[in-house]
Amino acid sequence: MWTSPPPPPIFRGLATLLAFFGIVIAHSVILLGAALLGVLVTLSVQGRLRAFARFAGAVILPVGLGLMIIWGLVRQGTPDDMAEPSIRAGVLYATIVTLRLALLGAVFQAAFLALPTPKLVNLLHSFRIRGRGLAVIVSTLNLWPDFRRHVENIVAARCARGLMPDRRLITRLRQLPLAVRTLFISALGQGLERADSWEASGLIERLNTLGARANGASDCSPIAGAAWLAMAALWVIAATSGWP
Amino acid sequence: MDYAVLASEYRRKPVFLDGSNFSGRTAILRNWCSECASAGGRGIYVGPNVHQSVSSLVPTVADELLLHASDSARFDRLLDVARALGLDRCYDQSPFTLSGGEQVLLVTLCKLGLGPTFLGLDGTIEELDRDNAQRVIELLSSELAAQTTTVLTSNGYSEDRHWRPAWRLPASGFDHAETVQKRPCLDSANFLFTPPSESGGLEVEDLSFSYEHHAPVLRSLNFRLEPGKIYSLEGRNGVGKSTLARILTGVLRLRRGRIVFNDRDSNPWKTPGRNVAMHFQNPDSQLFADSVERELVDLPMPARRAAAAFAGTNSQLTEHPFDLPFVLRKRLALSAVAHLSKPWFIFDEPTLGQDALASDEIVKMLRRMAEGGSGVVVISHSAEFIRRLNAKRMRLEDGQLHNVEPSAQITQ
Repeated sequence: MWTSPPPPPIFRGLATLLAFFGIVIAHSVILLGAALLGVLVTLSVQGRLRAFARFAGAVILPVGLGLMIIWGLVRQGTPDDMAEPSIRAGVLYATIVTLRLALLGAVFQAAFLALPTPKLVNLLHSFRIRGRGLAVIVSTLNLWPDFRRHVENIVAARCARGLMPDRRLITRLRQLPLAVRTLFISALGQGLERADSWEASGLIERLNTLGARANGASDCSPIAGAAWLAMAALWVIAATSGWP
Repeated sequence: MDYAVLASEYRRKPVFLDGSNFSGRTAILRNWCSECASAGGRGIYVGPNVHQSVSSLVPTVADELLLHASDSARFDRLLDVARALGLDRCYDQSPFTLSGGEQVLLVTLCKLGLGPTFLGLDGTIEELDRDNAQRVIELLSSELAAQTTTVLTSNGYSEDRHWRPAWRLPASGFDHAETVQKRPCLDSANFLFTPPSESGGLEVEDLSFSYEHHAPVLRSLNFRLEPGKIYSLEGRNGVGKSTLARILTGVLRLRRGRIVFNDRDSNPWKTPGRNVAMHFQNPDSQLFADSVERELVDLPMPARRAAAAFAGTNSQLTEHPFDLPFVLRKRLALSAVAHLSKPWFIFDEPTLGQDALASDEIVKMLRRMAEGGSGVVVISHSAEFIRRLNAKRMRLEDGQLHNVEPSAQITQ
């Protein structure tokens, strides 16, 4: 697990913002690929690689495949240059967008989601996020596991009644419309009900206390913060220079 | 009963609010919660769909306990109780992956950690095994509940209530009871059984299972169940009853062992629900359509009509299942499964949220299914329900299945 001292919250936030900026402006597949590899190594050290792999398999991969089909095969080009059809240009564009999405997800996971909940709440505190806003952000970070649970429930319910005759890909895809509809109704309905119960139970107040009690600032290292910022700045320079 | 009197006289003394389905108990509990809040206290209601009371703000069981109780002086004591209840082995799990009973234990501890003035536990105690139910009552009578007046409701048979409340209060004596005008009833006369096209024994050989990164739940199970009979699968909360049921149905993947149906190898994971259909403990995990009518649309027409009538939802066909009260959601989920034509059925806590009259109707329904040639396995903590079913009893303990009666045909 990650044992080096963490950077102060403000450095962490700034470095992440810089990294995001670099990701958005980077145009090189090699550079984006290398950066992704680097972040994957970090996630592996943090023990978060499996969680990211699940996210990538469920979100990034389908989106990437869709982009390949749309820009590589259907439009055969990039949004900026549609004059001459080119499958290569379309595929390259789709690859860059997919890598950017993967990298954004990986950096976010490494910078924020790897933190234990009290530390994360403390971090959000240091960004002056409190009360309901804090509860909404923290619960949103748990939204993905909640959505996954709901989808699994729907598939399990169909299986238990023999309504999913087999587990072939096409059969699973057929469950999607039903799953998505039910997912939004049940997840949103339950989310609203939960938000009410946070108020009634005083959980928002507790969340604030939990964040305040987590020893955030004192065990942070300014050197680690400077290192994070330096890496992020180097990344932005590499992204803007057009290398390689 | 005036809320103020209740709150002042029954701290640390759990009160049982007695009544049948639709007698207005939920409304009474919710009303007391509001009155408590109006009086400046903290009133908390926990309903039978207990997963809804999990905060969803933190990822693990340990964090959930920390969030609710870390700033209270009782935190260490609560952790001791959590350990005694066996929750410590689930600390790194998501609260949503716990079994129904374990969720009840966690939520009860968490809510007590908030130091409520009033705590309404609506039907949650039914999901607990006998020992855990007793432990929860003791907990609600302990120093940890020093500021708390707890009122609980429970359904099913009175014979199953081994725990003794400090006071028994009839729900019929309250104004809220009058707000329920029409009481949909569960009537086994409406049940339409369709015999399976093929029936046969269900056999398990050397079945083992463990969840990822966790200790084995099931260890080398061997048993054979005969069609046309009713079996009960018993055991403590979190022992793996539902896991076994989900493997037999094909909801979970068989990792090691063999399942044989009618003397032929069967892989339920590849063809889920073909030979074994399952009714889940939590109806919210079983319902997926946007209206009662669409929930039953996969059944043949006569069974569809019968299923709606049996569940008592004939007048609510266009309503969203999640808009129905828990008791009706449970009946709808039960009916949707029971009206399938399958060789085997597994019912996980079918009487949850159902009063004694409704439970009797479920007994009649299950008997008809067995008489019609289907095999039935019932998972239940209600000893009286199992007795009335005259089921062959099996008990799951430490990953092993044991005969409770010599007559059960379980080969070890």
